[in-house]
Amino acid sequence: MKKMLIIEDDQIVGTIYRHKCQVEGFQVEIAGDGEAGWNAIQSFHPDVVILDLMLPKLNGVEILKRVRSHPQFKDLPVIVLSNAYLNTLVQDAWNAGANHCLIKANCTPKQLVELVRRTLGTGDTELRNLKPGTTPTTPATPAATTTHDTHDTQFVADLRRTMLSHGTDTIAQLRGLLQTFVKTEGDTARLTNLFSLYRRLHSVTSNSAVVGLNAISKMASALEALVKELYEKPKNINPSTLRTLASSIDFLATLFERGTELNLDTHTPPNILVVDDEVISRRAIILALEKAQLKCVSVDTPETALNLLGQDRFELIFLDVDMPEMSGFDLCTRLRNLPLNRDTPVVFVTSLTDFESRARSTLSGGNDLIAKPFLFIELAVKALTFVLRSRLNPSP
Amino acid sequence: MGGTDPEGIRELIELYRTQTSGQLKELAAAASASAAKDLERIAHKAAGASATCGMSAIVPLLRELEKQGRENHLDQASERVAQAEAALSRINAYLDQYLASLVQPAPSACSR
Repeated sequence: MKKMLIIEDDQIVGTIYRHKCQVEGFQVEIAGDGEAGWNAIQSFHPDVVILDLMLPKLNGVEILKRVRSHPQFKDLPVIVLSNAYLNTLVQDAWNAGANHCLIKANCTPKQLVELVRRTLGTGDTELRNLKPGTTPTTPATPAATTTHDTHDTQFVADLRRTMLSHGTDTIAQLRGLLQTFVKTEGDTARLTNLFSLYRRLHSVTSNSAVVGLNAISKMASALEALVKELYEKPKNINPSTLRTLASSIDFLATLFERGTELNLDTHTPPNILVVDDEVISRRAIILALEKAQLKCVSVDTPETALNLLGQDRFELIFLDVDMPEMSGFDLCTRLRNLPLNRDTPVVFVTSLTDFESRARSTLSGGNDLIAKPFLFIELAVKALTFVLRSRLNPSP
Repeated sequence: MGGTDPEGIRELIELYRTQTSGQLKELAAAASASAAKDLERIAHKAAGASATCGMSAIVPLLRELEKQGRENHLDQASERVAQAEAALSRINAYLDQYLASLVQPAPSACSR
């Protein structure tokens, strides 16, 4: 029997992976933090390690470095679970010697098992029949189904119901952590509270992914990345980023409320329009949207935008405010008269964040604004919130 | 601004440096020729790009040039352009250090 070590601090996620992997014929151990994980590698001698990157005591990248520098474990297969929005972290994991990097928000236990099998070169039947010390000799075969899958489906459905039934508590915790963070004085204490919010979001991302709540997991993983960014670069904590955090947590609450009835399309690319007369600003918005796997059409004049808006329905519009021929506010007022886009969310991207500008934003029909300079991940979170919200409540 | 996206931030920085140094040359020419409309238009774009990239030291100078162009009061335009050029030199020195600190790109989430 092949031995698998799961280094994961979230008990629910660890339990789900262990359940699935034991059913599939692995001998599984779980380590709940980085130090315990490194100790378990040395005592348990696993054939494969599943490694969360964000761990207490010793993070995943540090474990990888230790593994690769140790003669006995330098070839040990390590599969890393990460967040799609944390490119730098994934990069660090590659550099430290990860064999595979999986996006937690998209990864089901079944997919994980299939990847482990391919990594070890073991088929389903062989894995269940292997005796300790036996080396598989044939290539991977397709996964067997039936009884195991039925059992898994029931198991995951039960966990999903449990998670949704605790949704109100989860959201209350997230809001409480955000409020505590905002009210705290003193940089160190503030960052400690921000880190608590990050850990809670990390847990929501992981839990929702393994039980198949895709929209929640996608939203939580983007939020998790934004909070991590703010924790690492606190100078970016400002009214704009705090507003984005608060409104996105509100949207998570909506997703929890809709629960299992939710069949939200998180894959179809949205139709997003970006209007800015300045090329670098347009490029910055495009790059930020790409972080959330969102594509857009970008134009440099309000007139071109109005032509497009008269012909196509968009799911989200980003508008510069200060454009020579027509201000973003005036453009927004005009597009509200176009049948196809009268309800399309409009977000102003502006360096004008005073009260008067906010008031003009609302009066012209805008839904939100984001301050320049913006973090890519902040704009990505905002975009994701609006796109998913519009899919939740489609216009007639 | 880019945060966890070193490739994106590198691209934007290179674009910003090239574009802004060119725009400052155009602003100097516009100030010399007393071309108020050109001064307003170019300063507007340069200010927008600088604000997006968080280069706050140069933004007020460019906004002032934009205003001078709009109001056709160009008495101090050349002086402001020179100040903006000095600000860009300091920004470039900072960006050199920043670019050197960025990690090299690697695959995102997939297999080796």
